[in-house]
Amino acid sequence: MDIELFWKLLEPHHPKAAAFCIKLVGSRDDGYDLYQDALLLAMRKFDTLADRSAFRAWLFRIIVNSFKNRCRGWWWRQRVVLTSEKFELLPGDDPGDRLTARRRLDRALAVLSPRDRALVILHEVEGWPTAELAAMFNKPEGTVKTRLFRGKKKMRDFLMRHRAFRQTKSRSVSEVAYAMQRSKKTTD
Amino acid sequence: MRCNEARKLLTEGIDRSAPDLAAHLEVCAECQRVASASRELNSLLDTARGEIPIVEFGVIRRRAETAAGSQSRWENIMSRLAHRSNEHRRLITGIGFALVVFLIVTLIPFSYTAVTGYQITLTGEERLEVSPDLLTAALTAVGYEDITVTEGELAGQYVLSGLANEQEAQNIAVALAGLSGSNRVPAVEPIEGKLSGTIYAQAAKRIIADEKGPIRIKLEEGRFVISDSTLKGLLFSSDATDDEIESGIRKFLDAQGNFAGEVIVSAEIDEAQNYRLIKLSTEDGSLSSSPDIRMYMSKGVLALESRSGDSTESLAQLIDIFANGDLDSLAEELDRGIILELPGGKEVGGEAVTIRVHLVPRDDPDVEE
Repeated sequence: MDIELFWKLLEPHHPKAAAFCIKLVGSRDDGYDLYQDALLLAMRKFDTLADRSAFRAWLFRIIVNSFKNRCRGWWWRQRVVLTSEKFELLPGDDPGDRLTARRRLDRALAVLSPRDRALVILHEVEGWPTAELAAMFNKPEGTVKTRLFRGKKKMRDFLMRHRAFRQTKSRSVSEVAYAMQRSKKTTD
Repeated sequence: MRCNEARKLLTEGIDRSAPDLAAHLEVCAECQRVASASRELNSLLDTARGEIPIVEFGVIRRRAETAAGSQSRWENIMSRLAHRSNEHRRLITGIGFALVVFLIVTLIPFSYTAVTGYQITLTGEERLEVSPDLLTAALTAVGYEDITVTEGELAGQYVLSGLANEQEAQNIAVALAGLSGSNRVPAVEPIEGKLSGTIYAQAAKRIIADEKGPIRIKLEEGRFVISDSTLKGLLFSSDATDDEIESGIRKFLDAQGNFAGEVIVSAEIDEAQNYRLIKLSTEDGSLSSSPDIRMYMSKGVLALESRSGDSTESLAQLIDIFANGDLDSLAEELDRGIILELPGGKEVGGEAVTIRVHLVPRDDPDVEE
């Protein structure tokens, strides 16, 4: 394996790839772990890459597959469940605060499958066109657009449900339950 | 515009200032909430688009190269296995399931009902007046080391535990009947009990028990002994009569049922006054109804019967064995004469010829020499 060629091809894509890993998992430490796992796998499989010009798509596909494999683990599923199901606005948080917004976005992304999460981040955050995403995942462009639409809808519905909870926090339990039920019926 | 159309536009990110959409949002409170949530989602996605500080490329490269180099061969294999297992989850799941089934079959004991012993009933004139301990010791002496004999519920009943199969029980029942002097084969009934063992052990036990090997009966120190991997000793006391021996062996042979193996009985000369030689052989593997050659003492007469084609040769062989080739010496020792009697015509190589050898006193006036 031409290791020098591998690093040479990787260097221009390193900032975006590392940032993508951090945004995928929602934390810096886990993001770098994912990035390193993906790089080790990419180094082993570098000889299978026939078209060097498709290095970026190939690398990001390896990152997404590594993320999907991580998410299959029991500990990861528990982590995701705790993060999304027990959503609360922490005391003292300012909704306008960037960190709070980032946390809220992570929780909204957590309701998506690993593949859909990667698609939304690559398209909505990183700005990848749907055509390039379709080529990367070897799917029709229409399929990619449909998955993006459904993913954003899920995230929006999640925000609506927890917005209703947050807005009615000071009210009685029965009022809160009623509000959440109405919100759920609207989005179904 | 309907609500679902409005929400679709909002999800796609259509500007809410579009006339139709704006008009709908004016009147629909639910869609207003959806629009608000869509706006929030877009805002959150905007916050994620900013640049975030990343570790230098050189640092990442050093870490990755160090990890790749320090990854032990075992870790490399394990990581590859983990990766492959994720790619072939169904296959791995199937293999795991098969492994679990294998461990269950070979390691986990299950209780099952099986024959744990046999009950032999000797009643009436077959009844033996011996204690179970004596029988146990006797059986141990002849090779049945794992068998214990206890009394049954009724008088004359014995329960034998530790037998390999019902044939062994039959053999011992015949021997016991022989000891008691009865011609009837006593009843043998299996006794079932609860055992514990793995499924594999249970299956192996059944397979081994079904195997049959050759049966060999030999005469040792005046006793007929059957020695075989599946059958143990069949005893006759040294002073048993010819009828008793013949009866006992016939019972034993009858107890074999449809046995289709080779039965060979050979005997060494008993230097006591009574000579016993019995030879049973089958050429085609099936058991004939009577032996090819038979020699016995009856009322002071040594009788020899041969149904072999070549009677002369067979007789010579027998006499050879019987008296080390020296009939005269034998007669002298026994103080008796030997007569060869060939009734009927002699047919060699086909039909049976009966040869009767009498051992008679020398001075018997009825004997023709």
